[in-house]
Amino acid sequence: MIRCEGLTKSYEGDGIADLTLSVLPGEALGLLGPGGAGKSLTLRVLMGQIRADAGTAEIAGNDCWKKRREVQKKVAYAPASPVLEEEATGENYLRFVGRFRGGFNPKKARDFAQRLDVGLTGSCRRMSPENRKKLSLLAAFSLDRDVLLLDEPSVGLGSLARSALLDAVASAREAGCAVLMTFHALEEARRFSSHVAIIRKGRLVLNQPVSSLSQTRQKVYHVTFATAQEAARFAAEWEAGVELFGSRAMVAIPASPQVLLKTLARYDVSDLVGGRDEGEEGFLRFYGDDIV
Amino acid sequence: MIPSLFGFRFRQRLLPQLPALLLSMLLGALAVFFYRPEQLAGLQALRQGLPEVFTFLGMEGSPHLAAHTGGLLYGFLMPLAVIFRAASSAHELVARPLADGRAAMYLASGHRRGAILLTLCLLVLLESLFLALASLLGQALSALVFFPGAGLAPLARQGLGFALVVLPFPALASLLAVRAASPRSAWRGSVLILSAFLLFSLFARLPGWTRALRFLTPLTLWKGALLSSGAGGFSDALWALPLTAVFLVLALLSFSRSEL
Repeated sequence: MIRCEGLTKSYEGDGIADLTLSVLPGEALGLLGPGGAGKSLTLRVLMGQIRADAGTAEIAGNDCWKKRREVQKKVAYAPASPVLEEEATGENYLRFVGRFRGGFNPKKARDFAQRLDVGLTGSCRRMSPENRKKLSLLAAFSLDRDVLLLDEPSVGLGSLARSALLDAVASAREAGCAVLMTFHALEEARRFSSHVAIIRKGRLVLNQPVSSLSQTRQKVYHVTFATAQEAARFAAEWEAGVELFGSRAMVAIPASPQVLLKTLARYDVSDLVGGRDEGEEGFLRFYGDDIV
Repeated sequence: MIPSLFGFRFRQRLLPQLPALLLSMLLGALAVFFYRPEQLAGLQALRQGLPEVFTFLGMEGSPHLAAHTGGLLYGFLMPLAVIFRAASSAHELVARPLADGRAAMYLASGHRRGAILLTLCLLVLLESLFLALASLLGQALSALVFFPGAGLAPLARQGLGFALVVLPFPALASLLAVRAASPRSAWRGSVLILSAFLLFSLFARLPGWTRALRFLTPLTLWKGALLSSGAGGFSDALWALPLTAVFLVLALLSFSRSEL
């Protein structure tokens, strides 16, 4: 349903590079990463708001830029910072969204509004940040769509609203909807998603089902190269999960070290220490800086 | 045009527009009121004291009701009101949605970019048009009260001619709003450029080389004497329509190339 392949885009100092991922109907992918990693940018490319520099982004087989109108008719989107019509009341805003975007499902809207306990009276301008967030999510979930793109959906919500959101995501998945969400916190991503992908500095460094995430055992190797240039050359080739400290590189790998050893054979390595098991949290900290 | 967006924004903008519309009606009513002999005499005395200023502002004075109100309103006051209305409408309806993410949300709805912008620009145009028509309504009501026998047709022709002539103002303000870096700069840019048009029309009334400035502003397309007498004037005013269209097309082109 959602497919990105080699997706690359530079935008206002941030960007994504060579991003490949897919979300099938009934799946919920949590895109996890620190601020500026490129998560929201990925959603905006998928929404057809921004044209990719390279690679493909497709929703239901439609190119997200060339056929963005078809794409947008299949997608419900809730941005990280709610964008509402400030002068309108919550009720009028919802009515407008329903007419303007089409595909409004009043029953879904009523059910979700009740579960979220969202206040629809009073102007949007005077709403609390949490109520604004609820209204933005309500507008997205009230539409009959095949794809849901939710940018940081749980941020700013209280525990009851989070629980309602969790139910809504589960219902959407049961209905065959493909859901792509972004998160800052691992725990949130695990709670809401069937799959978790970690994005760092615009690059995808991990993509796996939540069920196997907890079983992942990582090993960290400390490699000392003959020169700092040699270390930098290695880092450029290895790309994901490597930190440089002058001529020393710290590499985290999820499985057998064979690929690492084969790669290192081509470099002038003066020392190799490691193989220490890292817990899941340690692995994510290594990959995502401030994710956990 | 997108009816749902048009209807929603139109309803949202009705209340904030009311004070300006009432003020415009009041201006129109007062212009007619000043045609009463005692007020006219006072105005005449003022005009004799400062003839250059009154000529500069287009308030020439006339024994005919329509020409009198036309001079008072359409030489300076109403163009100034339309400038601020156009800048304010373009700020609220185009520049702010572009800056605060609403335009991006509109675009995420599957509607055509051009249709979204045209809907918003149409509202900007309508707000200026309503302001011009509110003044006309004020004149008509005042004329019915103070001069029941006076014909309303000359006032109507004058007012409609003015409404046509000022249409490029909101269109240009919309173009500037699309191209501006921020809503604030959109507002400032609109007020500056549209005020320049007004200044050109004022200086074009003075004798000397400044008369050539009349070619640089659409306001000089308004021919009050011809319109009020019914001898023509609409053909000149209609030239404002292609100018409006040019500004709108430029706004559309600019919007189609922008990344939101």
